[in-house]
Amino acid sequence: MTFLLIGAIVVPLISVPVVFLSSSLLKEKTGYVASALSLISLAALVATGASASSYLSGVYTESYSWSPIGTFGLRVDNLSLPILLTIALMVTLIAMFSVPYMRQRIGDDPRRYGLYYSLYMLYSLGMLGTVLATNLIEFYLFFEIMLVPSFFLIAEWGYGERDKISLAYFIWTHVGALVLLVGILVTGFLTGSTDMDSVVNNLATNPSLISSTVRLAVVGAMCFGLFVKIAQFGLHAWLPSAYAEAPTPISALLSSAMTGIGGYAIVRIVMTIYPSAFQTLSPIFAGWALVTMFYGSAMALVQDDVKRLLAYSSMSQMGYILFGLATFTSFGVSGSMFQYISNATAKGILFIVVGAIMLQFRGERSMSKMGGLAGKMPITATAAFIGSLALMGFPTTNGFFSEFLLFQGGFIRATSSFSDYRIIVAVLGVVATAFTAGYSLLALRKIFFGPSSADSAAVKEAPWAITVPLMVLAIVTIALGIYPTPVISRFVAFGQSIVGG
Amino acid sequence: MTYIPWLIWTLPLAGALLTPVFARIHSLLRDYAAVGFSLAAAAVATFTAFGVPRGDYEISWVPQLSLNAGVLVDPLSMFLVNIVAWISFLIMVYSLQYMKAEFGLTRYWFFMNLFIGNMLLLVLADNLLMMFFGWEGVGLCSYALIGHFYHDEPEHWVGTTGDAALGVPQAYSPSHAGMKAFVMTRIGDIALLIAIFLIFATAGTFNYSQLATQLGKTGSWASTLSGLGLLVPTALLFFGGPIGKSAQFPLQEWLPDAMAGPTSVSALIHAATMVKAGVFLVGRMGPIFFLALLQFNQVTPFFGTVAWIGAFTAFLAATQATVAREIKKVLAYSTVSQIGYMMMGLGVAGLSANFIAGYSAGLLQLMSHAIFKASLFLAAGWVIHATGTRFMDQMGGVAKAMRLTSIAMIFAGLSLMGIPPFSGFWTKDAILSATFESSQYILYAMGLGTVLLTAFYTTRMLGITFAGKASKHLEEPQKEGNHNSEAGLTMLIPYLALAVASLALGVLYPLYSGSLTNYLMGTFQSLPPILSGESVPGLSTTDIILLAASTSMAAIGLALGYVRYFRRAYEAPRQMKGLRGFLWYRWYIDAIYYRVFVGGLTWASRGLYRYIEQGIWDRLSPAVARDIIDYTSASGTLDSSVVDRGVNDVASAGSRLSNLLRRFQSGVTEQYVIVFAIGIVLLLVYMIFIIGAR
Repeated sequence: MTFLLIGAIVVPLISVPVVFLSSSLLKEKTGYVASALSLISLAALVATGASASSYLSGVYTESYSWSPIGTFGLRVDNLSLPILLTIALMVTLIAMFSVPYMRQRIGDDPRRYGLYYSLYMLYSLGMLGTVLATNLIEFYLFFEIMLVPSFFLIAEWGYGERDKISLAYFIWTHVGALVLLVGILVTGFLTGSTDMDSVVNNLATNPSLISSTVRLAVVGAMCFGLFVKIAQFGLHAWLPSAYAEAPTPISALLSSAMTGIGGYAIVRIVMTIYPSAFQTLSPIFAGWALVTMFYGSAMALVQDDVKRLLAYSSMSQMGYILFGLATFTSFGVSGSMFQYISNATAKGILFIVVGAIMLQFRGERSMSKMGGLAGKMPITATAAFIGSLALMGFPTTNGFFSEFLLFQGGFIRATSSFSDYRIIVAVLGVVATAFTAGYSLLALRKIFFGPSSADSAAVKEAPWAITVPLMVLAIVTIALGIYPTPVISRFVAFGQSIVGG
Repeated sequence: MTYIPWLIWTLPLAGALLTPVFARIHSLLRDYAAVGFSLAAAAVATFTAFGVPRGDYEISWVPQLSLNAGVLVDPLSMFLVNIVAWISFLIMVYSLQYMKAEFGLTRYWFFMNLFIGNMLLLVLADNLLMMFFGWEGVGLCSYALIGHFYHDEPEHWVGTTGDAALGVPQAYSPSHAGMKAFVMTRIGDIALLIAIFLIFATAGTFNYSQLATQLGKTGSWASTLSGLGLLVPTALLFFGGPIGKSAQFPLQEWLPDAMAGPTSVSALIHAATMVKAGVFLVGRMGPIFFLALLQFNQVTPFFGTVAWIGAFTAFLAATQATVAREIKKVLAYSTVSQIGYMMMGLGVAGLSANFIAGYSAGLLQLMSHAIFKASLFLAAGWVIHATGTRFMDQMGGVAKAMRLTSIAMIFAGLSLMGIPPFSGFWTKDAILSATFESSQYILYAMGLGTVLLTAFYTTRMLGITFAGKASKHLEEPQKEGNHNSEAGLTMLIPYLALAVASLALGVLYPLYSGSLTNYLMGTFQSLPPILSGESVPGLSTTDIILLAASTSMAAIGLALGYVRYFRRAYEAPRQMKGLRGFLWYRWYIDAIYYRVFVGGLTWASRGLYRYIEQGIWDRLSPAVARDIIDYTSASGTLDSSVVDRGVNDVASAGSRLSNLLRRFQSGVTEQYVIVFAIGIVLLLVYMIFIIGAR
């Protein structure tokens, strides 16, 4: 019995007091400690991934008795491993980025640094736990743990009307989580277990445990709850302000790592337990996703506040994730999960870039006041380009393969189901990518090209704590864009196991 | 040995990646290494064409999707690759001197090699997905290179400052032009992508030869698509990609403004990379679509569209070239028009009984055009540099000072006009006769009219620039003894060599055209025999009449232009009115696009933002938050003051609101705890349930 996975989540837990105490000594440099500690989680996950022998069937589970609820399990498999590595990587890099950024935001008070990084580590614990969980109740607990620290982080160090915004963020997602909980509880009550494996087994041996009508209702409830998290149109009201007004490292983490976990949960819970009910509802979800994709990009097109632009862009990207899942094909599911990774690296890059610019512009976020920065911050500009290309789904970035897979899934569903509706949805989905190219290129032009503005005379390249994370993410983006096989092989294998060939 | 063909496209990419490294050592090493890598690619391309057996050189890429990456060595790819690689090399040599002392050179060399590498990749790829990598790669490089002077200094703009059509400014900055090119070609790419998705969804493969061999079997992708009624739409959507990339109507508007890039970049875009990609792709997939459509008797809608779009674009752009003021813009319109010819050739291939006639004519025209257009651009680049202006009316009489440059431009210009014995004469005529012989007489007439226009605008350009007296703009530097001079050898040799090649290839055309056509037919070896085995048409009486017709049209155009622009001093027109204005403003197509699409989308998005997002969702969020706080605190706390508060609320809605707002701001944490408690309570209830159930 090894303790790799429990280690991966105990390390962040232990680091909560560690960073808090070390902050009085290290002040803003506590961020490096947090980053190093997160690296341990990352290493534990890499080790687990390596030990899960062949990657087509590799499942590695650690379970601990957790009466009376069932077992407290942590699992790494083809679905969760790439997601977990992404989260751990983002947490590590963004902790590094927090150092110069929060120095400007917090100033001199060592206790405030302690609080920030403690909450930060707790937040990362929540995200990792959510993805690792094998029990529905366990999942819900981690899902809430993820929410609490992020709420405080926004409320304490956000911008603008941060108390209202953080509360709106909290309430929307919490209500979503409660609706999800209702679905979870009904499932647990009717199948007699909340361990996901036993739920699936019980339903397989005795399908009559839950009638198809109830299944539809449960899937509806769960999806409603999770759609709040992935900010589908109509349930997205919390997102733009939360992303725009959160401290930029937290925006980066919210957008890249946390939000997409909703998509992961749809695959892990809803599609695994109730595949046919999900399939029944999938045409509605596909249309919903499409609306979100278009709406998010249209909103991004008219923003001048660059963080708000990225916020709407994230909303639109979450639409892509749901779009892929709603195709109910192995291509679509793997594309969506890959999209989680591409969106994480791309949005990580872009929010860090915005943070780097804000640092030099004293918090200015209006693009019309920027311009001509390409020559002044070449590394940052290059990273921003790579991130934007990934966002556009451009070949040789990971964004291409993820969008390729999920749209290909759409067309496979369309041509195999002979449905005009599905064909129209698939075609419009691809059309939506034009908008992404539009707002990305427009933003790049406003920020990096053209004559330099008067405000930007003193702008210099960002410090290494910013450029290093940018370079790492840019390399990952391109490496996965040229050779995506390690990720695709895992996701396709998993996708086939839940939706068939 | 087996992977030698891979070197053709990986060498320039390696060169690109090494550019920043070399730049750290020495700037000369960076420049010469960049040129060296493009030379190496060209050398390997020629070696592969002659020394490597035909075939598909594959490696595994994404096994779970049964996706391989492969380089396809066949006559079509070898023909294209050699044109692209060698012309690119000459442009790179020219850049050594032309770009000297410009800013951002490391970036320049990086993207030039990346551009060449991606173009070679898209030509060599053995499947649609890998082709798409190169396809988008050239799009990115064109974006970066057109916008090379990203600080948007006025001297790098394209168009006449202050000029506006329908309220849309017609002068473009480099960064705007680059973005416009990227977005417009991307629109075509979306259509292309949809077609690729549809093909893969029904065929399960991206590989060209597998797509072709599947056609012979039952349940092929073509029959599935045809069953869905999507076969012709798929082919047409596929053609959307080439329309965008090769600047054909209705997506031709990006190319004239792409002149904002350095002239060497324009040469690369027009002659070797980018716009030829679309023609190549139609050449690559055209035969496969032909076979697929033939099975379901749907050939005409697709190939007819290709031919008509080509013919119309050829005419449209030629009319615009007759009034252009900037020398590079004349050349840009001319490229759009010439590519139109190529598309017309490829289109009529499917409409006639003799597929190979139009097909090979289109591809041979690609070759002549690549050579003479590269020469024209490079020479024009020097003229612009020497005279310090991009406007022809500020030049004039420069032939005296630069004899060799003017000879190069006249040679290449004659080839563009289609005057015998230059290569352009033969290849353009091949397209026209293929059109005539497929009984497409209206298309033929449009093509013939375009010949006249082409000869006219080319003569006009040469006349205004080289003949007559120097303009006022040039007089002052000349008084100061600063005479324009001939270009340095590094620049002169590339465009002179290309101009001479235009002549030589024309003189020798009767000798090699037959064997080259036969060579190109080898592309169809692996396809079902419908396409192969057709003979090269000989020279009949009809052919001679057609030759005479097109030559006399060119002669008329030449004569008109000569009388108007060589014999008389040129004065720029003051106003752009009537027909001249219509042509000057590009038939108002550009302005209408900006009004309808850019303006319309912005308007719609702003409306959505104001009325839906800010009007509904932004208000809803705090409202919901408040209501929930109200509800939870009312039901969740046992605080007796709730009751009091409730009474107060009924008594005064106003005080209730302010009360809430105050609590909202101060008691965030308390509220949070209360809301969270609901979750915990639910959990506890559940646990009790479970324990009770067990």
